[in-house]
Amino acid sequence: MTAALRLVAVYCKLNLAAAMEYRTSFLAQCLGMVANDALLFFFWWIYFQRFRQVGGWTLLDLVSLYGLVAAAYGLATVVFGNCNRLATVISEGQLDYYLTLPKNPLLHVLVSRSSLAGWGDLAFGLGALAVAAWQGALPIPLAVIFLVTSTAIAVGYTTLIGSLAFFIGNAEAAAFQARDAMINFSLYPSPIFQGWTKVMLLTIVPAGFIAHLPIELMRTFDPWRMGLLLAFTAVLWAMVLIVFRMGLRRYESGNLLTLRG
Amino acid sequence: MDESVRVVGLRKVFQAKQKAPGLRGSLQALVRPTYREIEAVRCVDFAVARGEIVGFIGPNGAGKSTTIKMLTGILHPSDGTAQVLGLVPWQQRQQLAYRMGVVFGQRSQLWYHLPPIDSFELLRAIYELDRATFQARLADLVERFEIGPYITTPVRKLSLGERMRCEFVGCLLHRPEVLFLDEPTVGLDVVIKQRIRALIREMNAEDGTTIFLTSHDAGDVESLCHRVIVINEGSVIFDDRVGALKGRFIHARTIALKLAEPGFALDLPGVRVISAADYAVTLEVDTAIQPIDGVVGRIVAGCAVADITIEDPPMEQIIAAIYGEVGGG
Amino acid sequence: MIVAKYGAVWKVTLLGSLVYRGDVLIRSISMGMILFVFVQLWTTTFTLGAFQTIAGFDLRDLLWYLVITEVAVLSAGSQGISQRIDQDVKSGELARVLVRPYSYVAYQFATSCGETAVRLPLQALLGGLVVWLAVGPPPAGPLAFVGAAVALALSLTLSFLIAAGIGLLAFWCEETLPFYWIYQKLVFTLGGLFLPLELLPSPLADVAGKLPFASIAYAPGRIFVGSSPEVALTQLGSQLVWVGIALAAVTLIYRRGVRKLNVHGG
Repeated sequence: MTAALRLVAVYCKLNLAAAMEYRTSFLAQCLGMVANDALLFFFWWIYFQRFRQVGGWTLLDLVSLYGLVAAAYGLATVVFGNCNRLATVISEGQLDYYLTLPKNPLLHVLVSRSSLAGWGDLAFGLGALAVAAWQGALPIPLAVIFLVTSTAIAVGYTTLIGSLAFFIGNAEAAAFQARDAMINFSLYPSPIFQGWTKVMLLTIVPAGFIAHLPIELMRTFDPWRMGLLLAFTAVLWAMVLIVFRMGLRRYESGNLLTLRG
Repeated sequence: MDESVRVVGLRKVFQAKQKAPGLRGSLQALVRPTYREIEAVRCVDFAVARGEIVGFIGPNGAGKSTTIKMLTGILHPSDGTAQVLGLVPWQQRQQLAYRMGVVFGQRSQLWYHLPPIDSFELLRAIYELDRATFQARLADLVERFEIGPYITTPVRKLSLGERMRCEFVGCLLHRPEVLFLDEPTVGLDVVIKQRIRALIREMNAEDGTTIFLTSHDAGDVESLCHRVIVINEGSVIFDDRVGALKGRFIHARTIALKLAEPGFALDLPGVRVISAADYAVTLEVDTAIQPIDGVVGRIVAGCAVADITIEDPPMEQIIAAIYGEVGGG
Repeated sequence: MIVAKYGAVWKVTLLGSLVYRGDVLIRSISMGMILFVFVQLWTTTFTLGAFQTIAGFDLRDLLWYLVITEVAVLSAGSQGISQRIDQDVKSGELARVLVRPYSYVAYQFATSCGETAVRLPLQALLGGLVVWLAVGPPPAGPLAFVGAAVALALSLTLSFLIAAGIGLLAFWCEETLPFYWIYQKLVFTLGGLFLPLELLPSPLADVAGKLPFASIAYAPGRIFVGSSPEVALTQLGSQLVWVGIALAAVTLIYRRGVRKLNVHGG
């Protein structure tokens, strides 16, 4: 466990050092992403100027929501930056390198890349969370727990979809679509989703667990729903580990690609 | 028996999806995919002793890299067993990884934008080396590979030769007992190649590292390997000393004659006169048809020979024959 | 002759895009998903507030408006265009193209038209289907269809010009992607992609109406869901003006950039 944390820490340090080699790029991407997120949020400011609330959700809840989602997605892409590229890594045989090293290959491949723009998401997210906390809408210990679970679910979900590449070969398109859906559904207040949509958001596109449930729990805490969230995180990661392990047995190291060519 | 690698009946089959051309074919492949089996490695047996340097060669697509990938734990075999340092690679991958090293000539493990020392620090964390051991080992390797001036320069600013030496240092930090080298000298100029070869020999002699290497380069095979294993179409077709290679793969030998008096005549199947002057004749003998000693006997019996030289084919020709003709046939 | 040349480029790209059916399909799925969420959001908003209309839009108008604005923005493929040009500038590909007998920008325009021609019908179909199932057929009459089609063409042209301009900034800037993000989000909000400008608070709505972003999303959407001929003509007029300005700006940026290229010897 400590060895794993050390590995993560060393990679974070190296990734940051590499980013510093291109400081202008790094700053531009980072600030660009903060502006990007802020302008996206602007829609909700306009919306609540007119409607005040939607199904009990107010502007302040949207601040918390954007804060949590942006910070979690930022953490996911900064620390576990390869989670979005896993399908490509697998189908192009780039997993070889990690398999020749004495560390858990899944953890290793996830942490070995870092997104520059992710720092912008992280900064915007933490800023928004700070605003929400300052407005008294955010119980900080809970927020920290949710930041961890949301990051874990975001990384786990993209990893799970990316791991399909072991079985179906080309999973890039599916991975892109799944991630797109996860983010898109996360950035809307939950009362607008009803019926089957709600079921979908608590299963195949887990935006409900990444975004909606945490915000609702911070408004009114409910141990049962909290347990459900934790259980989902655990089950998701159990699935990730099992599927990745099964996948490694079938891993073809890009051989089919060369055989086809 | 002191063995580093033992392979018994190793086999690997890939399932390739078949697809008819066009949109219709794509849909068909989606609904009811058909598979074609590709047997990349058929049934491979060999062993490598501790401290040995073994060349593993064969034409492209012969199953070289698939075999190496199974020996390093990257791929799971379809059948058969293998042990590296007494461990089954695909089952005890992590344990083995602490004790082996891999260099893929074409793929770098150094961070492009950072100086090599940063990558070495990362490897220290990956192999969980304590600081004192790491620093002593690094100092030793830096001296041996003479990379002192480069280790604080970003990798993108290094020449290929400098980078390659750093690459080697990176994979030796943890004192691997067995080393897999895939085309270690590809793309390097002659001087650097010889340098790298000298370092590999030194490493082998001083640390007793077992080395298993693939190469297209005749020089690598000639100057490094104690033994050569040739693989073709997924099977081992040769496993012997380097010296025995020429007898197996080269059937053409050249005989140069100096005559004491003019008048040379020889008519044997499989013997061709390449050039003939009054006192000097060059012949090419196809040893598959005509054994060389028989030819020499006939020449000496038939004319007055002042001098006779049987030329060895250069290693380039042998390797080219293995990579080219074997693959073609 | 000129038309035939770039027409050929357009055709090749169109065929190329058809080969990447998967990619095209994926983009259309995104379109369906986005509109699905909007259907949920606005249905809920109208129901909870018991609104008949919001700023003059009933639910059906609003959702069909969003179909058109999303099609206008998503089928343009702006990010791809600006990043392709950015890469061409940085890699020196643009310098090589200079010796060939065609205009680089026109070539890129033909390429992007080819790609859009594949994406647009699919996205319109899928997005339209989602909204049709929710609120019924579009409110537009034949005239609105024609007007919206013209506005859409102008919008796509303007999108291309702005994206190209951002990509060409690579002559001076290490990173152009952040500029693109900001531009894109300005279209989302001030351009009327997410909601008609009538829904913005009053001073902001006036300002937004005078910016080029409104010509990209708002104009075709507004014309499609019914407006007086005067409003439609005003919209088309300001679109034309912005296309003119953008064309001039891109030409200027391109000339300056190429001159910089010559000075540094490529």
